[in-house]
Amino acid sequence: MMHSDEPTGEWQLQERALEEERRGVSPHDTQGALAEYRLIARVLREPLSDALPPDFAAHMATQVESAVELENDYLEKWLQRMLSSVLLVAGAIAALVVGGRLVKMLSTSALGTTGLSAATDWIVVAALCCLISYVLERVLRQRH
Amino acid sequence: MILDTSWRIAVAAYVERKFELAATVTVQHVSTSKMNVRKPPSPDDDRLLVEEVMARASGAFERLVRQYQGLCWHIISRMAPNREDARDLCQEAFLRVYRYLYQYRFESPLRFWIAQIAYSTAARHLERKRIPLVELADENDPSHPLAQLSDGFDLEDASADADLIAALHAEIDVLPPLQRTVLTLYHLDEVPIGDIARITGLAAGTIKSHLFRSRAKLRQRLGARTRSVK
Repeated sequence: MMHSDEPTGEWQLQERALEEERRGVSPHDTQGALAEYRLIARVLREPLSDALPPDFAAHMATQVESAVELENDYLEKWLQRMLSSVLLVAGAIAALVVGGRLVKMLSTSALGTTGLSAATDWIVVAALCCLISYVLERVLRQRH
Repeated sequence: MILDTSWRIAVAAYVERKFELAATVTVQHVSTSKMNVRKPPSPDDDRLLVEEVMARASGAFERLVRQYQGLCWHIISRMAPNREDARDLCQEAFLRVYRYLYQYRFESPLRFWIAQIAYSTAARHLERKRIPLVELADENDPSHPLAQLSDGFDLEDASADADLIAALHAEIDVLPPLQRTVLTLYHLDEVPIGDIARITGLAAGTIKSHLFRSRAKLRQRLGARTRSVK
């Protein structure tokens, strides 16, 4: 499609100049507008004076990797928060629904004892569990 | 008339001298040309590379960047003249390439898809900075390139190679961003008009018109510049 303000001859001259430069045709006897356009085409085909730093690709790859890691971290933290919230809500609902019955069960002594001493037994068991978990974690860390 | 003939001879002599020089350093010339216009990868190469990047294969994205950073730089540095801005925009463009690679459907070569992202990244930057992409051409303006096409430039004072080249580069640098980019894509990267149209989102006729006008303007401006030196 040729626009009305593009004289066909002039356009063809520009294109011919570019084509001759691309093919490396000898400019012998080239004069006038064609010679000018060949000069322009030659300059336009010169590499740009500036370029990206040589380590640009490696830098980009590192940047993308850290961005991906950040995104993964974000996802992990988000999932953790979601899970904690769900557990909290579920715990609250459970406490509301079965809390009364649970307290009754504990106080009527599953271990054959009564009231306060049964509660103390359960606290001791829970504390022992925490202590064992803590010690095991420390031991495993030291091994690493 | 004598002056007119003298500059025409000077241009012809300059072009011929450059050609002879190029012939004597053939190896260097060929290697430079190859550096400028590398053989574009096949669709299979593109597909393999994209799949590797998507699978996060080691070094795949670095290879993709290395392969297309030249084209990306040509577009962005022509659109945004500030070097620092251009480097930042290249980074932004490749981050977008990585983020949206899953949307690439292999309908066009990967290099044009990446070029499209580079162009839109730079265009958005210019929009933010309120820099116009194209200048408004006034057809009735006597300084319009079409009105002065018959005027040649006088090389009497600018026949030295370095002066001539520097003057042309300076004139290219003051062209509007879109015209600089279109010229570079067409001449340096040898991207066909139809593909430049796809990259820029403009009609092929508009690209052709920009090419014509900017080359005519370069020819006219060079003449005006050398005349003012006289």
